[in-house]
Amino acid sequence: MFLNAVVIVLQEILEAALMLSLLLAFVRYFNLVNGGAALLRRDWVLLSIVFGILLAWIYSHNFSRISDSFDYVGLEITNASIHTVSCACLVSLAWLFPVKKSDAYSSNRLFGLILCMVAVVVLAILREGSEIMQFGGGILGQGEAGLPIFYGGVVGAGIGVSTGVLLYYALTGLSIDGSLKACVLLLALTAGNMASQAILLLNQADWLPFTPTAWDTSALLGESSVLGQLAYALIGYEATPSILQVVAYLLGLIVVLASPVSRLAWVGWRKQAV
Amino acid sequence: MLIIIRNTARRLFAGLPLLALVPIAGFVKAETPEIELRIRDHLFFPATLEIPANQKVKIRIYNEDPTPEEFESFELNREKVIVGNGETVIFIGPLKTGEYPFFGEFYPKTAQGVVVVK
Repeated sequence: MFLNAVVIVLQEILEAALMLSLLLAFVRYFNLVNGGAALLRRDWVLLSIVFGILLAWIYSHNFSRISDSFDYVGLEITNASIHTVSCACLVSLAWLFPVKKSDAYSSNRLFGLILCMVAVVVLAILREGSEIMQFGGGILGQGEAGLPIFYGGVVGAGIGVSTGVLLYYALTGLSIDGSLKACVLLLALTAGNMASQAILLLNQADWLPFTPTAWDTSALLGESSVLGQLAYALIGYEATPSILQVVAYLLGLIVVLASPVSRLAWVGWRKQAV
Repeated sequence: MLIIIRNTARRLFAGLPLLALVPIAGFVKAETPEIELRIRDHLFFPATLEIPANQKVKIRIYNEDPTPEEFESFELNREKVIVGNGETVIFIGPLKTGEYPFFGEFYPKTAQGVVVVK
């Protein structure tokens, strides 16, 4: 049970940790470029985590009721909604991110940015945390040997958070332009991932029609392999996505890549727009 | 490599008209066959589910254990938590012939099964 708990908690924590690292790398970029004259604050992080855990706890306590709703596909509908809102927030973040110096001082814009980041973190923790609580609560509640599960969870959480920290330093260790490029690219892939996951869930619930598998790369990179799991958590890798999933993924990707911050990253607007 | 990309692109575009079917699907929902799967003592009963090829199937899962379980399958692209002493529904397919393993993520050592598509 120890190893099992490590894997389950790691999978869930990893997604939320990678998401938070990406957002923090964006904040760091903003603060560096503006030289402290305009500051994006970081004090929302702790609050979002606490709020996310609280929501996950509420979700977890109403799990049966949610699961039974909509003719037993309530979980899919709820989670697809969470993914859709997350995707919308990631896209808004890309479009709100200031590319001109004057925009960096617009308090409305900065408030909108922080709001998007808070929503993304809260929803990630709500999504992943509720599953951990189901696993942990259900098994601990049965009085089985709980200690190895608890230690497994702690180890899993530790590896997940460490991977997040590693990503943060990988993103911020690059040159300032390289860092923005990597951040925008990851943001686009994450938005695509959220859109694709929402489609998958609605398919599982039979709320969207079946579309054939677009490709099969399970021989190249299996989803159950360590690398496959990491790719899944980071960019939503799937070995056999459906056509509808691929279309949704590309839409999310393109909408972020079409944003001003993406043009800034590649064309370098900043130089002319000071 | 180029051929792979071209073929994938072709398949993607071939699928686009399917999007137009989204509103229609709500009206012409044919009866979906339903099969039962039970979880007991962290085992699946039956451990082998036989379903016809190219047919959407509704799996109704009863968890008779007091502990939660997560139905998971990489091959089927499915993942869903079922609460202890609970009931749920998962739609799969239409699928090509073949074997699609699934497992219970919370008790993967014992909870193993396979969907056989014929």
